[in-house]
Amino acid sequence: MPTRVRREALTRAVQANEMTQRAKWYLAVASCRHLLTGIIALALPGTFKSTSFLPILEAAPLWFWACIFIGAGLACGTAAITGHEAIARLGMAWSATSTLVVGIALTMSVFSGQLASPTGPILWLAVAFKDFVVCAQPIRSPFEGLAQRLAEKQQTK
Amino acid sequence: MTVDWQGWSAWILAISGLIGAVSAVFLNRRGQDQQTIQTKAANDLAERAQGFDEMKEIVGSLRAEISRIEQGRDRDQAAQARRCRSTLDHFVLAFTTLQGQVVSEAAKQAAEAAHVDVEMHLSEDHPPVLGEAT
Repeated sequence: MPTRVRREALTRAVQANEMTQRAKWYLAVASCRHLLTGIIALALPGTFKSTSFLPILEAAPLWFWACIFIGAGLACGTAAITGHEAIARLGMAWSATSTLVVGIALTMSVFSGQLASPTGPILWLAVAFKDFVVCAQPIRSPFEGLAQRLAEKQQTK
Repeated sequence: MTVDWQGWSAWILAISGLIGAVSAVFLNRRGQDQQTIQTKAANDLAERAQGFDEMKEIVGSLRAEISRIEQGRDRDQAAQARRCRSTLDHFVLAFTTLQGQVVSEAAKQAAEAAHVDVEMHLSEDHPPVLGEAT
């Protein structure tokens, strides 16, 4: 293969790489988390009778929160399947924000004495900040595509 | 310590949601910027890596040509070829340093300077022989 053609092929591969597997799996897991929470809130509203949910339920009805979570789950799931970057960033922002709001609501429950253990809000807030960290990262890593191309090139030699 | 959030929870959660959404948009932009920077860097590295392969081929062909001249009967040309080999070795050393420090601009400049030295040496010493080889 001529040198110029090889160089163009390599450069094109770096620019057109797909979403990383890590990002796809993260989005898929986030999608499952939100879809399950939303569906349970819609189908089994009786499971949200704990006093720890009072700040959430005082702010808005349960079906509203269910819609929020299902929306986040659909956005993350669509991005995980299609690899579309804009939908992925929308889904991550949606996921981070909704998780943060629930985490803060549960934290309020701890301070109002409606929730005995602080481990629940700690976990929700940790997941929310993890989502924020992912928002600040590249969803398509060009180095993974480049490394893959170079590895394939070395294998063919 | 217990706090009564009655009536305030909706406001607190709305403000939290707003701050969270603004932060997410800001962080998403930062992630996109980082992605653009990394893509440019990856392309640059890919071009340099491709350049290394080309340079290795050139050095290999020059060495083969020098060896051919050294084994010839013309003593004057053989002496010139030995000097040329010395200059080529100097270039290869700088080139190897560049490969080890691919992202270092100083190493790249040093290798380019060595390359210029080689070209000057070739053009001043015996251009027809090595010109044919390349």
